[in-house]
Amino acid sequence: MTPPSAGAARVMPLRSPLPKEAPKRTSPLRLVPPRRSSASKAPFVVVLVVLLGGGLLGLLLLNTLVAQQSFAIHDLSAKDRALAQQEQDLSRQVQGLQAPASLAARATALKMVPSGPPAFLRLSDGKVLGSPQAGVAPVVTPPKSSTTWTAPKPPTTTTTTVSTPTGAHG
Amino acid sequence: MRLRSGLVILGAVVMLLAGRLVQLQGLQPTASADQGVQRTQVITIPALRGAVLDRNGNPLAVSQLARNVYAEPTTIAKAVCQPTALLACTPAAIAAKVAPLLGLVTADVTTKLSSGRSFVYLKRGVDPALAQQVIDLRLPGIGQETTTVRTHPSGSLAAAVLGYTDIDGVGKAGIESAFNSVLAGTPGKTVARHDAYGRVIPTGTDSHVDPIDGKDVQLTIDQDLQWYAQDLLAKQVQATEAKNGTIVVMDVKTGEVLAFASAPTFDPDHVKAGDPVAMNGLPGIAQVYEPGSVNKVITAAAALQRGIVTPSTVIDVPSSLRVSNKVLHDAEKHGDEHLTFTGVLAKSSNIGTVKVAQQVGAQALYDTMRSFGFGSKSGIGLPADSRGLLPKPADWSGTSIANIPIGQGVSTTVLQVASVYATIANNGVRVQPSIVKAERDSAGHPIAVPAPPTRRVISTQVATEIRQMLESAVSEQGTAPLAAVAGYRVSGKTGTAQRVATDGSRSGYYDGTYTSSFVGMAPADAPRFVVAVVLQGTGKRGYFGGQVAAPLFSKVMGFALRSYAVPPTGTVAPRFQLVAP
Repeated sequence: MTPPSAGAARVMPLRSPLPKEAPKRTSPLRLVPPRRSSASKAPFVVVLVVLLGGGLLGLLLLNTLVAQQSFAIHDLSAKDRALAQQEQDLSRQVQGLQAPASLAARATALKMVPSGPPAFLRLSDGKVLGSPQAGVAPVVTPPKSSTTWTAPKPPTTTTTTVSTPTGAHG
Repeated sequence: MRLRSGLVILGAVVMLLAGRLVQLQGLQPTASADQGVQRTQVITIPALRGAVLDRNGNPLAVSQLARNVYAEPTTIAKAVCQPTALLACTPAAIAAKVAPLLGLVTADVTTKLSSGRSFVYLKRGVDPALAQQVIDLRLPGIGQETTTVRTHPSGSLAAAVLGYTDIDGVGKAGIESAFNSVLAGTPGKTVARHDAYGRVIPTGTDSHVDPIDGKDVQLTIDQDLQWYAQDLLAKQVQATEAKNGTIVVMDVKTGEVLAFASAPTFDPDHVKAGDPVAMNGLPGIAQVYEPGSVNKVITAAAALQRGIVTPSTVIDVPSSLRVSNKVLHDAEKHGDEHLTFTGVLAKSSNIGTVKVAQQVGAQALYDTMRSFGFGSKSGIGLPADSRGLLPKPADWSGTSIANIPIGQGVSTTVLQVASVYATIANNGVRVQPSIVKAERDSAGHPIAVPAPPTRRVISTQVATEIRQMLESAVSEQGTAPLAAVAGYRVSGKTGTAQRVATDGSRSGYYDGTYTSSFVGMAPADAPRFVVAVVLQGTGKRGYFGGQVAAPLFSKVMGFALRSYAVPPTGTVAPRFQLVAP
């Protein structure tokens, strides 16, 4: 201990008149016996159990939900992949069908012929320009298509009129 | 007392956990790592290569997602075969299941699976549905990864222009090579953690970078015109038993190449190693040849531009002409003739052209050829763009003045020749040929490529005069009446030159075959298109340019004019006198 506290002990008696006055004042504080709770412990335990149980159940539910959603994600992404694949296949099919070679092959199968030189009508003076000619059926067989597409057989019921060759040569 | 016993139990548990920790981390760390409790894997996500489109946006080359099916032979070696196992687990048994699905030879697959390597591709670029069938077999050590494959919806259409890509998707020729960095895009990647069973641990993803797909490249090629020209050319090359052929269609105002057909061509989906057309580049820019008579228009342009002759100047054309140690003849034997300069060009007289060239002089002739683009790259921006061979006047021999003006002793590409005629068609202004219209970003917005440079080569008047003179070549009196297009005025020039062998023992000498060509434009008085048709190695079944090349010109030009609805001008071709009275 430090000297100042020893000094403080010495000055204590000087304060003695103060405690002497204390008994004269009646203190409003008094010791109260602890109030005995009439409520039982049961509600508290129930709350605890409910909280714990609820938490556990919530966790379980959350876990199940996450698992379920991950299954859903898996299914949906599989579906997405399948659809993307289908779209890719279909667009490849369309691209193959609209390729000039396959268009020409199908047109030939339908007994269509390339058009001949057209006529042009000049509006400014009403003059007809060019020397129009009917289309001529090509004498060669349909071109070999390098795509995998095969020309469908023309329907037998259709009657197609082919313009007569005029012997036009470029 | 109760508290103390609780502490003892707690302490025991902590000790147990700490002990396990020391065991796992300190005593046998490699053993756990080998078990692969958790593995970090970097998965590369391939970027989809941009498409190559025609001028109207039709796809010529597109990339699609596919799968690589691979095997891990070391995993297969470790696989434990249970006696009751339903699944195959030995290399031979796995191969027997996988090979038929993938269309591979079972023995080859068995060898691969027994190789003891950690990773080996079984087949690359497999259709995803097929790859899934393989995966669904649930065989040990067999897996798949995403990749892309290049497909060509129009088959071999413009294949020589497009080029091809190798198995890794890198452009190796043509547009695919020249624009590889534009088309390729940037692959992305995912760093993922997997558990021992290969499942991705959801919370374990460390990073993910999306791939950036490549840009599309839009060409100036018109797919319909390209197909028409390519189809006709292939048939004509076959019919004439020629070695190969090229057709170039150019828009004269813009210098855009609308069609660039080659025959024979190749299948860009299945390029064979060593295929000459695929490997050597687009023949129309990579292959040089002596242009022959089509070069006479440059001689004419040089003479007209310098005022040495006019279209009606009369030239004495003897039956033969001796220059240095060479004696010149014309294709058709004739006596002494008096032809107009127009007649010289229309009848393609060698003697008449050389007589005028002698007045023009070597230097002026050389300068004009350079100015028209001979001796320099076409600038079309494709690989293997050849300069051709144009000797400097200092290197000319005594006979050069009798050879070069008529297209011998000088080598050019088909595109260079087409560009000369496009310059004449465009009133004397040369527009550098181009084949790429724009690049397109993933949203389809075009990024225009810079406009090609232009320069004036000859005056408008001289260009007009040459066009009128060349109309006579297509007349009944000229060399190529078969080049006529019904209803339109057409200008053009035939070329029939002996070919110089480029390989074999006769390399450097004329090999007995011919270059047959026709280059022309229509409508002659307001040209819209130039079409160049060149067949190499003809001779077995016709070789005159006016017979084997001119009909193709007529058909392709007719198709182009019809497709673009170009009306005839309605004017009448002036009749020039070819023979002086």
